[in-house]
Amino acid sequence: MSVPAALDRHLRDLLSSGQVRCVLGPAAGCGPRGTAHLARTPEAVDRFELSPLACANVLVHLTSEEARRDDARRPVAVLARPCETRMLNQLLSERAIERDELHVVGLGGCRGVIDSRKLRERLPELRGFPEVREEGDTFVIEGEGMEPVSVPRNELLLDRCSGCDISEPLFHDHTFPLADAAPTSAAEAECAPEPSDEGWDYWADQFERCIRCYACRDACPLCYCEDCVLDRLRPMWVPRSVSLKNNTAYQLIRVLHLSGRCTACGECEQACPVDLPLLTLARKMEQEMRELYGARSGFDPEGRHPMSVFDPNDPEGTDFEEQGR
Amino acid sequence: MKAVIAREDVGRLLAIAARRDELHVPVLDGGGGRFVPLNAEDPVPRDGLMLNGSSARRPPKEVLFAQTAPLFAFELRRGDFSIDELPPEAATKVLFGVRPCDGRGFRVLDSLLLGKCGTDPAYASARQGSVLVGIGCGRPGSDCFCTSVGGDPHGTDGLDVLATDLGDALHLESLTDGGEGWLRAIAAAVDSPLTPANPETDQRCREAHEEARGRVPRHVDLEPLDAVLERAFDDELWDDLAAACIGCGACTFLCPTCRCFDVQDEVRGDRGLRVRVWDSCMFREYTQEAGGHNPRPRRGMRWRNRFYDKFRWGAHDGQPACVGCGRCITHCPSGVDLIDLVERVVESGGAA
Amino acid sequence: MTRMANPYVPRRARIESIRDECGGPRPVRTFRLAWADEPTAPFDFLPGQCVELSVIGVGEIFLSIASAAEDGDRLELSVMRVGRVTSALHALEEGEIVGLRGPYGNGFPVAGWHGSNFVLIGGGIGQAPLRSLLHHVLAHRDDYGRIQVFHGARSPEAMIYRDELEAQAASTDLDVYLTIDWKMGDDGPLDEDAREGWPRVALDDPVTTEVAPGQFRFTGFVPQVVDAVSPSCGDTIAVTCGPPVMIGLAVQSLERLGFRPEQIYTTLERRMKCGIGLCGRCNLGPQFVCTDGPVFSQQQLLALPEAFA
Ligand code: SF4
Ligand code: SF4
Ligand code: SF4
Ligand code: SF4
Ligand code: SF4
Ligand code: FES
Repeated sequence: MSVPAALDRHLRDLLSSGQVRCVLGPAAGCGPRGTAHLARTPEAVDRFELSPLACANVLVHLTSEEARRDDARRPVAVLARPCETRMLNQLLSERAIERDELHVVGLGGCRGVIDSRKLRERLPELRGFPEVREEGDTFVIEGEGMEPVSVPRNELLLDRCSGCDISEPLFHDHTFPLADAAPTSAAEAECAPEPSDEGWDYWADQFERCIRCYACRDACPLCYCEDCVLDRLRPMWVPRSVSLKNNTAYQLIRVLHLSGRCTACGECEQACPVDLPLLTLARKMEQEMRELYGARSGFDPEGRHPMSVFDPNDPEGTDFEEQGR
Repeated sequence: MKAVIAREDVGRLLAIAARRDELHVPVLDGGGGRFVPLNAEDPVPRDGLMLNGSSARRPPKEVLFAQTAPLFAFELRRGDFSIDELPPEAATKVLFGVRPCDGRGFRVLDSLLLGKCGTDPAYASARQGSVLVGIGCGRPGSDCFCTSVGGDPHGTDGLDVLATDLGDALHLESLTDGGEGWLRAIAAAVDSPLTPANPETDQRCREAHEEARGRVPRHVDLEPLDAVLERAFDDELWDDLAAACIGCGACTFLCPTCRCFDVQDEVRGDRGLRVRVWDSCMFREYTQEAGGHNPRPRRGMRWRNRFYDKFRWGAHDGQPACVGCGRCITHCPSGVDLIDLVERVVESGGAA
Repeated sequence: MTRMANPYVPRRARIESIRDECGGPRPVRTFRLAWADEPTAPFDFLPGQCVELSVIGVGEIFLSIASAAEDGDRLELSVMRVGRVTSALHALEEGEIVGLRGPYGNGFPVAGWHGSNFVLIGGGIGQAPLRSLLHHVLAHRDDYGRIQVFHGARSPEAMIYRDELEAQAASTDLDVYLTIDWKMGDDGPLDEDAREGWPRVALDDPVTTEVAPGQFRFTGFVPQVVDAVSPSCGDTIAVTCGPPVMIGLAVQSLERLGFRPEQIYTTLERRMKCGIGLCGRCNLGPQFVCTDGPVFSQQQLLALPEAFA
């Protein structure tokens, strides 16, 4: 059994009573990393995994075309870490999903998850899905046929987790504490990243590398438009050919469509096969929205979006008035 | 021909190679590595050159089968147009540091793009005379499984020259006429750093090959697969197998043997290019018809198409169109594992 | 049509004339083309083959040829306005130049069909390749037996080739069965007036809907009409082309009538790009619709994955 007994029981009950049609959550994927798992039967609950290494883009499956096709009304239960409840809030506020379709099983006391790329880089000889224990400020990794290795937490934490300031679900139908939970240590809070002030040259170097696979869009839980402008041929907003100019236009459109909505979950960056620092962009955008409008996405399920409402007190509202409108 | 070159002289060899031909080498680029052109006057990127360790994340496919390639140029006039054909690639391309799996990947691409029906002129002219200098893998990557699909970390199929890493030196062996010609030309250069191979280096070479084979980390038994695929097409299992997939297409963009492309006209003013650009069969839009019909509306169907294409339809010379490079496994953002899928398909037995 | 060194490069073709085949939200126009640089050079192809038509600057589409090689130095393409390229094409005028390359695909194996009877079953724009075949067969009328053409559309206004088919039926030895959907027109359900002259298929009644010699009219779905008319399967080749649902049901009807899979042919549509078996887009398993098709016998399709998707 990979999840605590009480949680296991709860999930099985949800499924066997027919209260939810499926449970969505993280599981062990191939090698040392997680994958999303969808359990439709009580037996399938066995595969869930709450190890900090089992981190996966679970929420994107809520709004995918496949999910929409699935018989709609009965709720889905979601195993959600605190930051994921923030994303759920955002999705609710956009009415991409409805509250009564959702049964949120919040995971409390989150101290962050491991970035499997960092782990692989640190321990390239690792095979399979290792045991991970948390001991103070270190992760202890016990791989197949390997001596346990201690690695400082902040060397392995996913970027979105360093500097994360929520450790409890923002809302839930049920909550379960993660094993070994402990408050974030001072050392970790310190490594919160400064929003980037890199100049254009830096970004040109990055965008030049983009292969326009659109994985960043497909991985984003908030990119759920059925008919994305970036796929449209008439008009073709961004030509298909890959060049610095087109790649930049592609990223700017993507980022602008997410401004004020993006929760800096970092799934785009995780998905990028050529390591573009997309979370840096996301954070910059989040910071701008905060400074300009005092808005923070995903903290209010009823929240109105700064980019879709007009307020005369908005910074650029003054300009309109001066122009006599 | 066989020759040996001291590790510290590889830069000199590359400089000679770059003087002769258009040379491409794998370098670290902040995104896991790719092949870039190296000019004779460029300094050889010492730390960035990806000759030991594992393969570049982006396969060398893009050097010969460019992600964006113009098919022709055109000029629009009132109710009319004229077409300018573009000159074919003239320079001979030498790719130094091709992994054996990627070398075999070009074999697959050849069968698809220089195929029975038509020939892609841009690929054909880039491929014409190209020399693939392979480098064996002393330390295979974490998801490599070339030995399960007919390859080997020092496999020669598809390559013109194979380099074996002997630690302090590289051992080079030509495998084709093109490779022989290239290696002789390098050896004949006045400042050539090549020295003849000898029985001792041959022996070390064999040992390195043996050792590397044992280090390939992953394995899958494809023997039973074909018989299952024969029956499994209409099975329910594909939607389940694809459940975690987010349809992002990263797997196909990194695959050394995927070649799906789109064709688009890109116009500025009254001039433009018709270009072919990589596409992915993992995208819903790929088969979406203008009239609204889509023969492959579900992700499971698209996965099934890719899977069959790699392991059954695209197979040639009795080998699958997957060369086991492991990229689609390592870099799938959703943790979908091709090997695991093969095993689950086999397990299902194609129960339909 | 010779293939050039660069197979993607189209040749210039002039739009000699444009004919409106039907209106509505998805209008169809037939474009009659000649080679721009050699107006008397012939088009050589088999019925059922295809071309890639370019509106340069907008894009390219893969189309079944709607005429037959017997037309000599003219080629006809019927195009429904559904997307970007087809809209641009509909905006062109006579005398303007388009790009053309081909012919592509296998075409109908007419050489092996001498002496056969034909049952041609088309729906909507799917009638275009059947028109190509029909023109060819009528040009060699003595080589073939009885010909029965079934053709359906959503409404009388949406029916392409209607005048031509009725004229052919009047002048040649040919039976034409036209039908419109009994419920739907372009703007919703058809009222009685719109169905004037289009009687309901009466599945249990003998056919009494001959409006002129060799010309029959119905209101109903094409496969129902096939059921009602019950063409004989002896020495007959059936060819069906149209929306996937119609093809599926028409094939079922034919099978009920005793047609064997090797007697039934279909031309398939897929989203296409290169037209020459390179881009991978149009695959049916290991085969490509653009090169191995678009014509397949039912026997072939039964062995191909996704053939009925
Ligand atoms: S961080 Fe990326 S994936 Fe997450 S919401 Fe923002 S844009 Fe979307
Ligand atoms: S995932 Fe990365 S490579 Fe792919 S389109 Fe996005 S930024 Fe570009
Ligand atoms: S990379 Fe993974 S998630 Fe993306 S399309 Fe491929 S299998 Fe699906
Ligand atoms: S399918 Fe995956 S493992 Fe096989 S060649 Fe392509 S990327 Fe490599
Ligand atoms: S799959 Fe084999 S040949 Fe390819 S990189 Fe890995 S070890 Fe080398
Ligand atoms: S249209 Fe490109 S392969 Fe058929």
